[in-house]
Amino acid sequence: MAAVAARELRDGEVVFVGIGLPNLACNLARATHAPNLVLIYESGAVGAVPERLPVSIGDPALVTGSLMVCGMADVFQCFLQNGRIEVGFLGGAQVDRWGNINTTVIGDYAHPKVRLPGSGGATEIAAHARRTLVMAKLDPRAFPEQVDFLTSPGHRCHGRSREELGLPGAGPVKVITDKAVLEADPHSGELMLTAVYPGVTPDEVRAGVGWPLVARTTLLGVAPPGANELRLLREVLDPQRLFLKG
Amino acid sequence: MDTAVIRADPNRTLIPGLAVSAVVVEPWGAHPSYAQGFYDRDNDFYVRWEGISRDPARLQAYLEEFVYGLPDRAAYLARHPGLTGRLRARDQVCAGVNYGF
Repeated sequence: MAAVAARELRDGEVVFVGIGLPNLACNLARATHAPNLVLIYESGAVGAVPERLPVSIGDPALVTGSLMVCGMADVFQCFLQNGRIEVGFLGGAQVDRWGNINTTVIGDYAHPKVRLPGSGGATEIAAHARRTLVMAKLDPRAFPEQVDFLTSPGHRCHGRSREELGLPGAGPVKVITDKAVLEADPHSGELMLTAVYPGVTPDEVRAGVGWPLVARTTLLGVAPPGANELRLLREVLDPQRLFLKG
Repeated sequence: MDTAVIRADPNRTLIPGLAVSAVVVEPWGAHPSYAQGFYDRDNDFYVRWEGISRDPARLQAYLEEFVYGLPDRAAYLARHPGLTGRLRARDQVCAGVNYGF
């Protein structure tokens, strides 16, 4: 997933990075095809060049050598809301048919089954980043037809489009899962299956999605991580396996 | 701290005295987290914390040993031999700033 996400980033782009898999993906991209990626962390590190994979957004490795350090409010107001962030990463307990994300509550809001951490900066990233990439593992509970609570807007929120809602960013253009890549249909905004990992069938992907997932007529194959990507991930970026499982 | 020290480098002041009630000098007070320019995060502890925090009995034992059972930070540090050597930051000092006009 980290390698597939890294390939989505173009050299020189400005990326709003979170901790976890997106952090791995961004630093993998920076170590390979995108050395000029501008990493912005919500802690206020702008243009961070971490020598090691930062273990949290407060890691001083994000400060040393960065372009600037500002306050969190400035990250959101001067950079994100000002349209300076080209790519934002999002994840969540639930991602629905329209790419809406729930990180607030599973079940009824007043009587939740599980209370989740909440939005953090995700809602603003979902609204303002010029495009977002979502990373989530396929599972019918994680991909319901409709989120239990709409924390971060996708392409249709309670029947209304991003344009109607006045959301400036393009929204979640791709959802990178552990078996396949889903993309938003450019017209309707509904998530569609567009690419599968080696050895994965469309039916396996559908089994992990809670709505009748439409597949594009010609499915693309996702190339597995190359030897250099694997070496960087396992030996340089995450030797302690803090984020990697395999 | 003399006010002159603060006033010598105002661009780096984040919290001025008017917003402060008290200051506690407590070296290594952020452990197991980090303090830029002083010491690094104790990541081995964070990894162990995953197991401690999942088990109420282990959590209680941890709190008894390292929180309630210790009189102060110095005693806490004494319970972590080698910690300061292991985590102390290496220096990377930047040049001074010219505030002349």
